[in-house]
Amino acid sequence: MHEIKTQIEKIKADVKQLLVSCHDGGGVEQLRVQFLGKKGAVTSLYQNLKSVAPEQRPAVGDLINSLRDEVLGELDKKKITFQREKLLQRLTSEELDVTLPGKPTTLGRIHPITKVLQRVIDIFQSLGFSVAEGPEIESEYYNFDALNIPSYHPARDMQDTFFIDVGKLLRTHTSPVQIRVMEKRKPPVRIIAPGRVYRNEAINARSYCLFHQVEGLYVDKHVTFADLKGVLGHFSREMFGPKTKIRLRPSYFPFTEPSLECDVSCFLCSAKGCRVCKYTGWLEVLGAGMVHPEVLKSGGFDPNEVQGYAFGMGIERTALLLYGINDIRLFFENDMRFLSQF
Amino acid sequence: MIISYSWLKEFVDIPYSPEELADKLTLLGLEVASITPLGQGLTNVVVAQVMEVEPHPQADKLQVCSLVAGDNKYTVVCGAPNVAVGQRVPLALEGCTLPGGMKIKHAKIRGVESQGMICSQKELGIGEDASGIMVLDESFKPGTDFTAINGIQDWIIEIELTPNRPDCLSMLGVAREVAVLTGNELSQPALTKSQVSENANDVIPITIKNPDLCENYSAYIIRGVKVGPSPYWLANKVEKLGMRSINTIVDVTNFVLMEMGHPLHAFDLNKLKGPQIVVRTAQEGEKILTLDDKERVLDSSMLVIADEKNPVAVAGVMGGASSEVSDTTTDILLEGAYFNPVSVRKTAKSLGLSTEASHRFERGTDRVGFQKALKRAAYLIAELCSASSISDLFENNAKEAEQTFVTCNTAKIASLIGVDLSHDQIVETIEELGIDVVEQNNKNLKLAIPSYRIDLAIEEDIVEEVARIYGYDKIPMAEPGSTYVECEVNDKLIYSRFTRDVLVGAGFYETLSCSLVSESVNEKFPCWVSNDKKPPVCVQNPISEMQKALQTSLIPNLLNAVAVNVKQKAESVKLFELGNIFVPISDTQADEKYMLCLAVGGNLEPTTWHGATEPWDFYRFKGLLAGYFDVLDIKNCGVERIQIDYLHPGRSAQFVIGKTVVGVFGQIHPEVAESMDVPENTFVAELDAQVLIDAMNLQGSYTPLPKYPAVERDLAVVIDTTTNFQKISTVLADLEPMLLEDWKLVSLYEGDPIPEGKKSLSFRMRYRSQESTLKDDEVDKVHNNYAAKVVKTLGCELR
Repeated sequence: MHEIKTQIEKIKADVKQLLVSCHDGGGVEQLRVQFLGKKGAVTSLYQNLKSVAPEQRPAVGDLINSLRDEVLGELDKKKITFQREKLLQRLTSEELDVTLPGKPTTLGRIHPITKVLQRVIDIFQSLGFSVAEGPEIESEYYNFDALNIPSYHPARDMQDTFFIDVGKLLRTHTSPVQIRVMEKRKPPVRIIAPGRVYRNEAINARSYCLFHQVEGLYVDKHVTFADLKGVLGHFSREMFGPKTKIRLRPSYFPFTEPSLECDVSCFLCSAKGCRVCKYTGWLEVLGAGMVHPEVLKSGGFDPNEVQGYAFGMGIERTALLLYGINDIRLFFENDMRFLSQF
Repeated sequence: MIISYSWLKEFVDIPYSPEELADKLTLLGLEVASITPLGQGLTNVVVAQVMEVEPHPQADKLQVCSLVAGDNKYTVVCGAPNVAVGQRVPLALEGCTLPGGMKIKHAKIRGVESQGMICSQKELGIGEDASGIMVLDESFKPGTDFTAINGIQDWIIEIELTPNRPDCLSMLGVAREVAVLTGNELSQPALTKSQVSENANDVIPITIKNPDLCENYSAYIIRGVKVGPSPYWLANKVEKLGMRSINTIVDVTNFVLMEMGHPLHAFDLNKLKGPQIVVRTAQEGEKILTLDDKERVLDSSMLVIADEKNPVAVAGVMGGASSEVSDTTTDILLEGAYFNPVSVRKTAKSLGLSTEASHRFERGTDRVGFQKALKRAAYLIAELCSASSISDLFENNAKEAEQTFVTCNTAKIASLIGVDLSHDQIVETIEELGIDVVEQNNKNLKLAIPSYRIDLAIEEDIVEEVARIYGYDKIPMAEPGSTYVECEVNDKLIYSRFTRDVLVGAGFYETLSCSLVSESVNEKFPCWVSNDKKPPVCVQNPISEMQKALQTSLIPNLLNAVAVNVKQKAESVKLFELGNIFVPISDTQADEKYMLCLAVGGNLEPTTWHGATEPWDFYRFKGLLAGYFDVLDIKNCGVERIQIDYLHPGRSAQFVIGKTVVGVFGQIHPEVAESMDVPENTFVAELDAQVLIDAMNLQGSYTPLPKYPAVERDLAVVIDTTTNFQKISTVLADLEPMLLEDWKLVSLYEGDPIPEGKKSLSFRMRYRSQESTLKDDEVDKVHNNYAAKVVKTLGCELR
């Protein structure tokens, strides 16, 4: 018994000592073989167990077991230390210059006109407006006559028109959608109509032969000028910022009466006056008015029963202002150096 | 329309600065575009008389002038060619700073002392004339402060008038608005008391052949006139409003035009044959030489003023040269009339001639009030031209001018505006506007509209007047969106947004292009949607040949965009556009189709320090489109080979769902790529968005996730190289599903050790049971079964 204890203590001391001079995982493995292998020092203790008196065997067996566990533990500890060191070395060797640029996965861009258009649609959809559409090739009737713009009316001069045929043209505004919607539905009607419109104008920095508009129409029993003003105020704050103020000026459109033009306080200079707002503090963004009774009649509505408002805005113009772009042609050139800015 | 601030003050008291007035007019509906100061800030300018002019001893082009202004005498060196003894001139003295920045000081000019500067209009900033010094007429007294003289210091206000307000195309019209605005009284232009003898019998015959086109033609005859330059006050007013001062007669008609808004015309009476006036339509092909010295060919729809034989004016547009007033004219016929607006507009349009007169007539003139303007001008001419006699007004009133009445209800007016305006308040506003309330029954009004307000015809017009005067700025904002109106779902909008989001995530830039293209584009890129190659629908009046035809495909514009970006050294181009094409049905009819077009070219990504990325190729592009269909949950989309001239014949195809063609895609034909300046590996696709919208399922549907693991087996076959993939895949797709969950192609190989003329394809087959974990032998059994079926159906070998 005593002898075994001495042997155990010696083995413990040997392991400790040998581990100190062990320099890698291989060394630890060698020690494992040396002590725990078939011919190892610990294994041979088990073999010697036979020579121990039977009544002492369990106690001695326990001693050897705990020695085996202790040696195993020591070796594992050392092994893990070596693994850690190795990993650390690898990690150090794998260090990158994190300031170098990455490999690109380019993301695309939505066109700035679409961006503004979607914003406008979102705002009006949140107010319960549906989205309607109409054709780009339009009849003279829907584009002019039904909107109370008879032939040889000076108002036709306000919109230079591309003609396709007698009585047929490229729509000069989205207002014909008003008539098309009223023809199809019964009041109340609350829609916006985004779309592409055409004007026969020379192409230069300030004008293009086509652009995008959003038209709005709300007809019901008691829709008032004050309702229109409320909607325009809400829209302007959502679109141009919560501090935006609006200013309405009497104006003239044949399809509305009364008519107005809506200015918003200049968001570029906080209405202090700048080059873009021509030092007035106001930017013109929208035309609107109460739907003219003749237009209601064209749509098959009875002006004695219903009333409403309509408005229209140019998306390119709004985008030019919002982004401070000075040339409308950039929108249609599709240069990615331009498109990537939005 | 431009107006003069100082002149406006002659009609009504204005308690506002020009800037304040501009704001108020804008809010009243007369939008002010600009304010230009005239002669503002001028001081130390005096009216002086030139007493002596001597040549400058040292300089040929200079003269030394002695001038007197009141008690003061001045010596001034002057270089103007027109300086002469006796003239009254504006003399800028020490202390004056001219608008150009020049400070006037005593100075020696080439050795001669000069105490000031005699100025031109331009130098003083009060006009455009820079040809010589400004010469003043007798009404200027030497010694008076030049800048204190009426009309010298002024502001010119430019108003952008909407076409419904021709009543404001005059000083008086704007003054009427200011009077309503301020509540101040309006003073009407006075008629000059004539010293000239009146001859009531002096008339000539007036015939009106078309009373619908000319209701009334009125005239005065003024005899013994001396035509000469206009006095300062007249010339100043005419020039300030942008017209050239010509002579007393022309200036007076222009002056009254600007003052009262009615176009008038003076004929040299002795050049009118008859003399008589016939208002008639022109004969087809009849000619007239107009005042601008151009010969105009007339047609039978055009109204003319004729004498016994020939047209002497195009009614409401321009006078004729043959009866023009000249320096030698002694007797004149002064015309005032009401012409039909539509007729004048048609005539002016077809002659391509827009004048101050036609601008007003076509918008509608004051059919009653014009005789006042005519009288005002006649008396002014008689006096200023020292006429020997003036006739009474004589006229042909072919058609009685109708009084316009509007009935309205004050409750309705208040309800449309949305403001609780009282009946009395509304009536008061209406009366302030010069509108007579002729009948009143409870809240119903019958209004007599003044003849100058041709824009007021219905109740809503009165609503605008009331709202405008009340002030749009005072109308409150109602809370938006309180009433429920049924909303409609717009699939196209949902589809477009979804597509944009997906493609932007895949690295694509959205483009917008001009839908008008040149006709030749359509020839090169014919519309694939329809088989009959009809020419595109064209606009009749294009800006240029480049923007003439409505596009029948989005592809050419997108290729242009690729070229633009490649030219800017973009290495990787990924673009898409959503827009309408116009599939021609006839020369003037087209079907508008909403399309999605994609184009890629160059490399997948731009090169960086890692080196270049893979270039775009056919299968990469096809894979992207397949991924797009997948997110739309479109599963049953097949591919068929097609031939399109502008695509690579071996690398182009169409997508089909059943028999419906979804769209085409492929590589650009190398010749087209070269001519369009795009890379050879440029790929395009054009898809019919409506077909996608009909087929898509954005809502998706849920299948529970599998509980048991899958087992995979590879199936490798060797088959003739000529057998296309679709043939093989159809066989696989037709296998009974049973345990087979999915399969995919994992390798495609030709070459050693595969025999020539053969190819090897490996498929990874995935098996799964919904009920249990599959055992190897179960899978083997099914897999071998399938393998045998494939071999049998295709006649291929297993590998």
